[in-house]
Formats: sequence, structure tokens, C-alpha cells
Amino acid sequence: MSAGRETGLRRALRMAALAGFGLLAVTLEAAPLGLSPAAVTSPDLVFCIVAHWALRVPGAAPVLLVFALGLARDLLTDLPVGLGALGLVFAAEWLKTRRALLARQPFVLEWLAVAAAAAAMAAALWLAVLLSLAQPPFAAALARHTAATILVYPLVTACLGWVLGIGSLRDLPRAAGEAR
Amino acid sequence: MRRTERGQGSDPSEGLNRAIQRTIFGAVIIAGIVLFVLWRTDNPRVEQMRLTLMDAVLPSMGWVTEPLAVMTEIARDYEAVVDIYEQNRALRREIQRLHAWRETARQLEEENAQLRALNNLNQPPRTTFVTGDIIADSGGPFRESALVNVGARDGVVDGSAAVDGVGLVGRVSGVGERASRILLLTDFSSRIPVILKPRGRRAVLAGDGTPAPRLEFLDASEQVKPGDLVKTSGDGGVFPPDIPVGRVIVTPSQEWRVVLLSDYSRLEFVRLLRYRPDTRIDRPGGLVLPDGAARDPRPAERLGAGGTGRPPALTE
Repeated sequence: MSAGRETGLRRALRMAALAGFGLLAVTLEAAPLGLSPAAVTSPDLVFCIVAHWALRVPGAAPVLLVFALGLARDLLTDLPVGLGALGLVFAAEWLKTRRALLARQPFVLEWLAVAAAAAAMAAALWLAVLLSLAQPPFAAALARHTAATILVYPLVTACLGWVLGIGSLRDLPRAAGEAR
Repeated sequence: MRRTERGQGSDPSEGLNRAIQRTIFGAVIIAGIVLFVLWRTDNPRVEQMRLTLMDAVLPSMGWVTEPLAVMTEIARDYEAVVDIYEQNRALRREIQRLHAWRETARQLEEENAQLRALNNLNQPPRTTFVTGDIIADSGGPFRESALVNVGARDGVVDGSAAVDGVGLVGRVSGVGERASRILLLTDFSSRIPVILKPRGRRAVLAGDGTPAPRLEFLDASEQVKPGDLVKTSGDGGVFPPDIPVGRVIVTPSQEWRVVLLSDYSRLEFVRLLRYRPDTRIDRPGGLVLPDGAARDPRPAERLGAGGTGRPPALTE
């Protein structure tokens, strides 16, 4: 009973940490670091953090929390409202299903899975905006943004692993991949 | 440990859990689609939502964004710091030169005011402004916009022109209580009526996600030359006329584009202009009929009511 309560408390703490880090990431993304279209593209830090959680502690990354984070990001950084949040939810859910396969595998495979999710999310967003008869961004600009996200993922993972002690997927037993 | 916890649950509760999760997932998808449709069809309402959230989180955002902005600025100015002594000397020389110009400008302003008074000229109302600090920009490549920390309580209205020290930056497209959003000239949906000086050709400046927006609907383009100054025309009554915007260039693909005067990479503060046009033509003029054909016995008075007729004593 007390073990269950302890687990529940840990889960709640990890959810709170996801919310906190997610909001910090939104704020960092929104920081005015150059308004010109030619300025350096900021990476999608919220996606990196959600992907880290979805692969390591999927139980602490529930759909509603991920959606709320995505919505806050959409509203504060001027993305297509609702669409960015949906993309984040689908990416997180897909990564959760890949967790069992990625457990005890080298980091490169995890990185590839995250890169695939990021690229698919960006392509889906671009297509959805195009289909809704709005003007989609330049494919090159979106590709730059996605590339920045993919490049920054190992850094985010290393930082979060160091801060929270949720280390590499290699430490997880393969069977743990099925736990949600 | 997690596995043991899950293992304690019986099958029916596990099934119920899955059903709940599936329902939540479905509800989230529907909510996302509804919000997206609302964003596409009824943008002002979503914009209001955005700015309400902004008003709520604005004080806490400053804690993160301001140090970051300061750090960026420091990194950017590092090179300038290296030759600060030389810069200081150059600035002192420039200040001395500008002192002389200031006196000249004052004298000219006085003279100008006297001449205008003699001429009984109806001057446009003085445009006032409020200055705001840029606190956020659009993170992704979908929009070119920025948020400033002044809003409705400071007198900002939707559509106000945003300028920096040199030229036009964009227009306000969403006002919250304490924050407002500026749609930059480079955004895909930005369209500004402009006039090209010195020839006075009119065009529409259309943003397309590149640093140099395109000129559309340019009339008599053969009279336009690269280097011509682009200013707001004031058509539509949203912007005051004659705000400098940029200079015309021609791309190798023979496209007319405008290099903006304002430097987006160094934008920290913007002025939001509070402008109300003093004259507005809101109805068509009356018919001007030839003498004799007029059915109205007092045509001069009818014309006078439209504001275009002269007093009868002055007509021949």
C-alpha cells in the first residue's frame, strides 16, 4: 500500500517536472533571439523534453498533459493552434510504443527514432496547414527547424538525465519497455 | 517496480483503464481539430485566447526571456566592445556636428510653423505613440511575429503601426490588456499599401517569409527604379502616411522587392503609433449637373452640402 503510494507520488512529481520543464522550454523558444527570417532557427525544445519523457517515464507523460503543453506552446509561440499540440501528442504516443524495442539499445537508435518522429510531425504539420488553404512555411525553413530540433535532442537528454537522474534507455530492462 | 504495480490490477480494472485512456485520447484529438478549425475560421477569437494567456504568464516570462535577450545582446555587441574607444571618439565628433544641426532644425521648425500659420493650412493631427519592449517572438517558422509588453491599457489598438527608430516594422494584430502582438512585414499574411518616392507610384508590400518583402500591384513599374524610397501611403486609413519602409531592389528574376530600413536582428523596442485619420470620405459626392439641366432650384447649395461647392458670391 505504502509502496503504491510512493510510486504514485513519484509519478506525480515526474509529471510536475515535465510540466515545469515544458513551460520553461516554451519560454525559451519564445525568447526574442532575432526576428529576421534569416535569424538562427530555435529548436523545438518542448518536443525534445516530451520525447525524453515518453521514452523513459511514459507513465508520467499522459496524453492530457502533453496536449496542454503543446497547446501552451502553440498559443505562446504563434503556431497553428491545436495542430502543433496534436502533432506533439501523436509523436509522444508513437515513441511510447517504440519504447520496448529501444530498451537496451544504443543511443543512436533512440536518436533515429526521435528524428523520425520529429520529421514526421513537421511534415504532417506542413501538409495540414497546406490542406487548410493557409500559407505553409518554406519547406527549407521547416527543415532547418526540424534539423535544429534533432541536433539538440542529445543535449537535452544529457541535461535532463543529469538533472533528474533518468539516465540512458540502456539501463532499462527490456521488459520494462512494456510498462506504461 | 512499475510492473508489480500494474500486475496488482485485475483484468476488469485494466480494461476500464484502457477504455478511459482511449476516451481521453479521442477527446484530445477532437479538441485539437476543433481548435485548429477555430484558428483558421475565426482567428480573432483565438487571438484573444492567445493574448489572455500572454497576459497571465507575462510577468513570469520576463524572468527567463530578459536574461536570455541580454545575453544575446552582449554576445552580439562583443565585437563592438573591442573597438569601443574608437567608437566613443567617433560618437563625440558626431554629437558636435549634430548640435549644430539641431539649432538649424529648431530655426527651420519655427519658420515652418509661422509659414503654415500664415497659410492657414489644415494640418493632420499629431500622431502620438507608446513604446514597448519586445518580450517574445514566434519560435517556429510558421509565423513572423513578435509580442510587446504594451497593450490596451496603454492605448494600443488593433491595426496600429509599429515602427523602430528608422522605419516601419509591422502592425498590431491582437491586443491584450498588457501585451500586444505585432505581425512583422515579413510574415506571409502581411499586406501594406505603400507609395514609392519620388515618382509617387502605388503598390502593396506583401510579406512572403523572406527578409525582403515583395511589391505587388505595382502600377507603371517602368517608372520605378531600384533605390526608390518606399513609404506607407496611408490608403485605407489604418497607417499614417509617409512612414519610411525601405528601398526598392530588383532581384535577378526581375522581381520588385523591398529591403527594409528597420533592422529586425537588433530590434528591442518598438513604437506603436496611436493614429486616427482626421478626414475620411465615407460617401459618394453629389451629382454635378450642367447649368439649366438642374432640376433642383438651388444647385449651389446642394453642392455646398457635399463640401465641394464654392460660396455663390465667388462664382462667376
